[in-house]
Amino acid sequence: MVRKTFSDVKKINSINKRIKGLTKRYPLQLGSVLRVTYQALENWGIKVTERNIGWIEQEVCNDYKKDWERAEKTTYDAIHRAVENSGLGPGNEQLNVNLAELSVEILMSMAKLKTKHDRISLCDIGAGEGATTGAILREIKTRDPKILKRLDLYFLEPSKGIIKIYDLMEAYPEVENPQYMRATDYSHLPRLMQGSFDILVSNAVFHHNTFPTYIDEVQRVLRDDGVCVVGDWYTEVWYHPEYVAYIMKEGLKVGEKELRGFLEHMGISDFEEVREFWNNCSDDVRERNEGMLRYIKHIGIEMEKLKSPESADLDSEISEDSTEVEIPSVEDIKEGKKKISKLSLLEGHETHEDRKKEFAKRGFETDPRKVKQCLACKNIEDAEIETVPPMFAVVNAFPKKSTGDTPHISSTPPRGVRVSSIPPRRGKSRHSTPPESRRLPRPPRKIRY
Amino acid sequence: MAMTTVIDGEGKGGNGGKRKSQPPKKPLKKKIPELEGHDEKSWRLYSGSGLLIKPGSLFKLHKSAYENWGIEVTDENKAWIKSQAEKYYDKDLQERDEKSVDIGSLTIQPFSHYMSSTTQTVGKIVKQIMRKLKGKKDMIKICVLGPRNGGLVVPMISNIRNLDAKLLDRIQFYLVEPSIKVEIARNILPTYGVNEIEKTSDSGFSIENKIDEKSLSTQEDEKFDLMVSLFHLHCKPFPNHLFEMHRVMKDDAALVIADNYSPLWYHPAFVYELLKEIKAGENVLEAFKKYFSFRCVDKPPLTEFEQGALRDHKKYMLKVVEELRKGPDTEKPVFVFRAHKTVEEGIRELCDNGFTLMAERRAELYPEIDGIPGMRLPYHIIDDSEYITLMVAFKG
Repeated sequence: MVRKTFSDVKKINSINKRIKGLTKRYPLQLGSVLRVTYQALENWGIKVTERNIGWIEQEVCNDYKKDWERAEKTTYDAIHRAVENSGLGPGNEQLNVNLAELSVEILMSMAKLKTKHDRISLCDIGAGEGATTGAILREIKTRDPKILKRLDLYFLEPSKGIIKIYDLMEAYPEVENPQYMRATDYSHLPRLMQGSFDILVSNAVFHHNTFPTYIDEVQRVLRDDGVCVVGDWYTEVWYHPEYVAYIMKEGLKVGEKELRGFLEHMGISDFEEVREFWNNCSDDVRERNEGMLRYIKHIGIEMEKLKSPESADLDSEISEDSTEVEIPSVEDIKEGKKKISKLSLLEGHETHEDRKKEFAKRGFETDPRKVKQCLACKNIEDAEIETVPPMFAVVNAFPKKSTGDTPHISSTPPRGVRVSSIPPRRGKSRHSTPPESRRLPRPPRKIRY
Repeated sequence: MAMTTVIDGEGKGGNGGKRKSQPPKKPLKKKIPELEGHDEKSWRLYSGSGLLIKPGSLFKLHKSAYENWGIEVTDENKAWIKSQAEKYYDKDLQERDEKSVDIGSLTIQPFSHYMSSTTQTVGKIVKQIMRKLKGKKDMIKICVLGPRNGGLVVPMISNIRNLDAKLLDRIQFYLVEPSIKVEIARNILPTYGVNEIEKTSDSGFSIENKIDEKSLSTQEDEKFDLMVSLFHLHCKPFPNHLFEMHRVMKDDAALVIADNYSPLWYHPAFVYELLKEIKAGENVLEAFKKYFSFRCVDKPPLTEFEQGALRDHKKYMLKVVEELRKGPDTEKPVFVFRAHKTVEEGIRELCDNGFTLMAERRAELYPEIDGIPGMRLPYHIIDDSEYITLMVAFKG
């Protein structure tokens, strides 16, 4: 269906408010449509232009910032349990393992080409509580513990979870002086010097971003022979309002009134059209969408438990009918009888192909065959690892495109990581002027422990 | 058998050689009404203390520790003590998420990292074992004890797929888990290409939501090509399950064990130190010391790796308390007594039940295991500590 699109900021704001408002009274909400990846915004009636892009980015940053501030430990625990109960948990774990194996293989090749005193710099973007770096350190320790002494580690993470990494590093006293930055990739990468890192890893982070401008920064802070290893979840579940309508009914269990409002707003005749859209996609897409739907159902159950832990027991958690969640009435909420924790769903999920295109556009090698050639690592069986088939969770190695005939991994000495003032952004991106939003999330600062 | 037993330590730590702990001054309790009263009183020692963790029932401890806690196991009371232990472990499973906090849901670094490293290493060992088993013509049968929600099986599946994706079409996984969470495996495993078995000739997985003894007792002799035990042996005060495990394994089958080993609950003096560190009140400490009638100098000597385990187990418990203090459920008690034992005790139990851990036997059956980089069995996930240890045993 071709939808009328709007580029005017006021109109976009009104579209967003209307959609946000439909699920406002539910503990699990759709949230801001602007968080959807930019490739899909047109499907939501929003046309991205040079004039409105800065505003959209700023809105999205503000929105996430609010989320981080509002989210409590209980909410994170609820997400953790939902991930576990929906069966996606081992996928996250496996992403870390696969990402670690691939990164360490690359790192070993880099180490061989350097002198034994040269240091190797690695940055974990969105380090969370250290699970990804932990898997990498473990892998290094198994294969060549001497490398640990040569590592310059750098953690970037906006949440409080970064504190847990201090505890993780207890297990690796050989790693000297790791750097902890509590900041986002948006806010902090621009502050780092060009060519700071040999290897940059990121797991389950990039699907939060509406615009792929962070890849410009990833490209800039990597050395010329640097490699970005990305693990992430790839779905197109938020690409089409039809998919979202299906999720609203089957996952969020919104009322008839809200669903009708959504369908009318998006110009969808009835739910049958939605059901047909959901069922008529390819098996792979449906499988991924079903996976996300299962997760959303479990998130709903957990969010409900936050209000009344007694109401849910373990049996209902896993029974077929368990998706029936009790939604508090508007009156209850107004009267403050039931305080609800809130969580937004819409995020910048991309398809795997779209993600690769974005990296290719920004000077990375993305063809798996060429990547393998480029990295010249004998033991890399596959520079693209499917963690949960079909292409639901994938790990990729994206090396920066080599400019000459020389091997990609060179023996030039690494440059240390230094925090500098915000440099001018490079490349021909339409965001060549850093939008104001980049400075919006927390100011980067070192955590003192 | 208490810690008064002679243990041939390597003399690396503690006093080495023969060691004896001071026998309890009070007479040991052995009659059932006495034992009931003894356990009940021990619970009351912590009432009103505001401690976020509480030891729990003495019957959950390993049999070799009972004597240090004032209990004598006799032929008359053994079955009753065992039933009490099972009762409390069952209660733990049922009450988790409702009346008590599930410690497993807390991210406690670096221990969460160690746990995931362990399951990954188990995956690597299984991969090496499968190199040989894939030559078999029949369906390969793997029994996994303690798979929790099925997530712990995923590293095995990934490693097997990595070896030969088609091999999964010839494997039956038999998952035995007492927690209802095992049902979640029905969501997880099909995502990784392993479906539930419908016909007995199918590959895939089947689930037994029972304790291992009840489940294994219905299995025929020499059924499984591989047994994997994941963090479940430390909940077994008496090792009767080992007999069943031995019976259902094929003669050349391997038993891969990943578990927590620690002497922390062996002696009240160790627990007293922990209680002190988690800031139990003077009155609680005094009552505890008086009731169990021990002297701190009576602590049994430990080897270097056991000392490491004690240090790490205590560190873990302190971090648990730290996490609990941050959470909203501070009024929920967390009962921590488990039947942990030392690796040495664990090996002895295995040997008593017909297993061997001899490197020669391993080299004869599965030499590929020793080809894993850095692998030296028993494999300690933490360098100088046996707190998390991996072992591979075979029928002797």
